[in-house]
Amino acid sequence: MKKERKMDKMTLLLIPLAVAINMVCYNVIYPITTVILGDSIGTILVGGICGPIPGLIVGLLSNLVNVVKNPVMIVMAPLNMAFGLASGLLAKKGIYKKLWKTLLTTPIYGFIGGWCSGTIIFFAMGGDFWGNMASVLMGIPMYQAGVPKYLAMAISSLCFDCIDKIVCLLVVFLVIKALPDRFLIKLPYGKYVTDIKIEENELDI
Amino acid sequence: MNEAEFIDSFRHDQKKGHWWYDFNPLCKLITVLCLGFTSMIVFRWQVGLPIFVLATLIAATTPAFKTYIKTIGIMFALSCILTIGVRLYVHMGDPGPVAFHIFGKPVPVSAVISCLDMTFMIEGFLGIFMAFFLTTEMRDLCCDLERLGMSPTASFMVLSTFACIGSIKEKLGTVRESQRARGIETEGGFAVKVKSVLPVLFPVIISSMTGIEDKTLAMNARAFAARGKHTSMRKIAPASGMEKAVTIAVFLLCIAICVLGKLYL
Repeated sequence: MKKERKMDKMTLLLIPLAVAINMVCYNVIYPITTVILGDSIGTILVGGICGPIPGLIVGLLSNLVNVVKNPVMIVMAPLNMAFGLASGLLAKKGIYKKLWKTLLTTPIYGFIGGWCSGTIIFFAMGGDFWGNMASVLMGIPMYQAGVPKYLAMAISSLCFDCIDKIVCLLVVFLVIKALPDRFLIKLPYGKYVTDIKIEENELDI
Repeated sequence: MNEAEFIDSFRHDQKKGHWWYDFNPLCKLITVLCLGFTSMIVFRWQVGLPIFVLATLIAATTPAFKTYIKTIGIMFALSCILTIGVRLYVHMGDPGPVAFHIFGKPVPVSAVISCLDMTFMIEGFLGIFMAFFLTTEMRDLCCDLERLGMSPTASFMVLSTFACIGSIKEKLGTVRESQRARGIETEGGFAVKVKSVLPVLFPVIISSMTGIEDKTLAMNARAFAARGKHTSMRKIAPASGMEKAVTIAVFLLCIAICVLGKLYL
């Protein structure tokens, strides 16, 4: 019981840290690349090592914190929550043990962050194009080539988001591999991301 | 404020002597949510513009007005101008009454109205939320929510998130300087900057995460999980009858605007 509480507390402290990681990664990566946002690295990371519910909370808190700077971000909260949830569920399948498995899940995150975000923006902005990079570089040319407006917007968002998510997943994988096993194993989903087997009584908590 | 006044300030309800700052945080949040989502739901400039004007008038009475105008201006430049350009370009040549011509191509009135709707929806939503966030301390809001039954753990998570952001940004600056001292280029062209991302980000993430264990021990030592009634240093006055009445009136007004706006605008 005591061990369980300690683990919970580690998760409790990791949640605010993951929100801060999301913000820092966005501030560092986005101004350089302008295509890669990196604002879901913390969410995916905590989802993977602590489970779907902490991941979901990180997603929600990240958007609530962003609301202070940009209130329009509130409509994107369900997507960031879905990243954490998906990461936790996928971690149980052992996807963070091998790089190729991790990268294979890119389309799942791309669909959530691209197609679904494209759909939300499309309907929240009155069923028309939004002035983002995906619309300008890909959506509008597709629309002018005859693709329906909604499909053009969703497909362009999906493609651009896959680029972002492949980098996010790569960073998450590298961070998990860089973290010591004795740290990971104390986390609720640590056993799903490391190959090291440690007996419960070996955990010095 | 001298030391005695500072200590004494915790003996009473926190007041700043300004009606909007001292408005009960939860009532303020409900009011702002109602107005913000009305702007989004109706999605017409006739509703977005009055909400934006109201938010600006409220902000104008506070010392945070400069920050408010700056943020609104940045957001307008970042999201609205590009979107207006995109929309006008996409709708150029569409049938319907012409508003004006760009490069010889007609721009219909419907495209201009669509741009106005979108701009004032964003500015109304953004404005009213900025008027809230710039004048409300998160710890006051959490304190008020805790009084209504929110778990202290949830309060801790929200408040420590804001504290974490500050400390991790500080750590980022330190790591950047350290890596520069070790010879890693962090300034320069695109390729140089891309190469410097991982050596800067990784130490920040890893060291922050491994430091969690020590924090957990410190929290245990300070009886974080101890059962008992939680106390708070700051006291927030409960919502007065007038504040509750204003909140309910705004809520009902917003429902009426949403219904009428969807029917007639």
